[in-house]
Amino acid sequence: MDSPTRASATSKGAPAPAVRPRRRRLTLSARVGSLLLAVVALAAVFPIAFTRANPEQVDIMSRLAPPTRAHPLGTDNIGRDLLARLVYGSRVSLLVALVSVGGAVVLGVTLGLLAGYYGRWTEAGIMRLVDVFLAFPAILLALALVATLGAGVSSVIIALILVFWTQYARVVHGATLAVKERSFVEAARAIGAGDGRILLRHVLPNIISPIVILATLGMGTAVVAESTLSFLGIGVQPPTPSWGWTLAFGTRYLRDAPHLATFSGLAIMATVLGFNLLGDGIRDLLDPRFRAQ
Amino acid sequence: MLRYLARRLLLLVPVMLGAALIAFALLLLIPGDPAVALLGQEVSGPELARFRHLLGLDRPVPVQFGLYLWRLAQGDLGSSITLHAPVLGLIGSTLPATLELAIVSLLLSIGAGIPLGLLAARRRGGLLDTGTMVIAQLGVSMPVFWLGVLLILLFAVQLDWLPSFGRGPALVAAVASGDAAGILDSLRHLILPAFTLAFFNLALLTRLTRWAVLEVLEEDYVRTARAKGQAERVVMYRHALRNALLPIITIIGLQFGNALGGAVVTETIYGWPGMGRLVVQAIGQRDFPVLQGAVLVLALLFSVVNVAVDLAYGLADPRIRYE
Repeated sequence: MDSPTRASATSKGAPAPAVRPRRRRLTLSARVGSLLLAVVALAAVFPIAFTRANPEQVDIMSRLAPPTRAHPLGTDNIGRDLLARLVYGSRVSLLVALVSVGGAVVLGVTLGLLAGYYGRWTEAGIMRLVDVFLAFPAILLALALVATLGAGVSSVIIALILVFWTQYARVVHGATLAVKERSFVEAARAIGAGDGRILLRHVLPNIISPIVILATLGMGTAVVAESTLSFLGIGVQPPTPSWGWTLAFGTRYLRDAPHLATFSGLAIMATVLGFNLLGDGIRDLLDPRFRAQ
Repeated sequence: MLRYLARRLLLLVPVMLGAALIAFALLLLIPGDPAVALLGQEVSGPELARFRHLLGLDRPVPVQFGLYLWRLAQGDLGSSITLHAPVLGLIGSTLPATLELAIVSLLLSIGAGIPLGLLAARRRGGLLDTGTMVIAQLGVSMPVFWLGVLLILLFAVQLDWLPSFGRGPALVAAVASGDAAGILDSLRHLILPAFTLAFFNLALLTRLTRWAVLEVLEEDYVRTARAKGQAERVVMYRHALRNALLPIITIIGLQFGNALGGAVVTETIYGWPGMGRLVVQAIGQRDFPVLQGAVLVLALLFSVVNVAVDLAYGLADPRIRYE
């Protein structure tokens, strides 16, 4: 078997004192990232913890108002509270990121496992499909797909799944090729385990680290992609609160109400930064090459 | 080398066939009747039938795809529905502006990203390293369009130093004619969009260069070079950077794709008359022939650059031989 064994006895045969493996902890920056994400997640789940204002409440008399006590981040062009719009907008961003990355992981990991494990025509077919999708600059393909499917949350999610799955398929394909040659896979096959069981119980658990790292970093990319599509006017549609759309609208009022573009951009950046810091931290934890640095 | 190049270019054929299939499928994926989606509900009857025939939508799908490929092979990307002009001509007139923006931004990111990464690796753990890495982390987390908006707010709206919209004369033409005023005007228009587009790539390249150089610095041959008493500059450039180049070159190839994709957003923000803006306008007007053509041409461009990147490996690492 490949799994390392730990010496459990001294030369005299007496049991060795239990040596606790040193607990690896997330770096400071990764903890900052987790904190940022915790705030965004809290805003999405319990918006009332941040604001009691209604994100749809129009107050035309106080349109484009700068930050005040009543509206801590100011108001938009029809007087809606910007803090409430951003807090409720976090729901859309997190939903799109979670579902699109989840979908891409399921699709990419499944096809990557099949390509790596079965080889031959299955591998050739799947990996050529990956090549075809990778021929397009990512945001351009997402843009074209959403333009075709029609604006809206579900179109954005489908487009992002179709854009993101290739990176998981590629990484999982390579990792599966290496793992399937290991002796524990051979042993499982020798005791009669079927392909499905080998793939799910033996191969997948051994290649999970790069998938977790990619997925965490991919969530940040998904938040940017969603807000980019909304910024270009083909993502999430009003009146649903969306960070990208608020920012796009804010660019029309840069001179009179710069708070609109500034705060909505900050919300996007803080979330992406959170995912990136956490993703880097997980990578440092799981990949010894990065830990050394 | 030539055989390898020929094989790589040959491998592009199935990839581009697949890309053509995706571009073709865009029209089929439109929910409902594509002809109605393109022309609107108010058009019906013979006019709709004529339009369907014009796009070939009245034929079986495999035949449609066959005809699409046949037209592509002849260099015919169709005609714009709204601009009533050949798509190839529209792309030809906007591609130079996109290439100018993408290449200048790539040069900016390479020219600044690699030295910054190298410097951070040399001063590992120091103030410069920490500062550079914090800025790089912010750079990879900042959406391109927000950076663009902030730069416009600062340099165009508040300070009024640089234009926030449009393109000056073509940089290459201005340089070729030695027109100093033209070069200045071109550069003034280029600075903000090129920096906006470069910033993400610059941050990514800085982080990657630092990581790759630090990894190489752990190698025995670096220790040997230092033990021989070689100057630190020689160790960094001849040993560390040269050996760290492979992952850097890989990422530069991908960055060209980022630049082409990012150009869609950057050109929209700055009103840059390139292919990105053409794509966004085509989407707004549901001009699918333009969208299909632009997507396909950008995919071809990106694929060819990736082949060039593969060939560049051999220059960076003589151990790589093309069989």
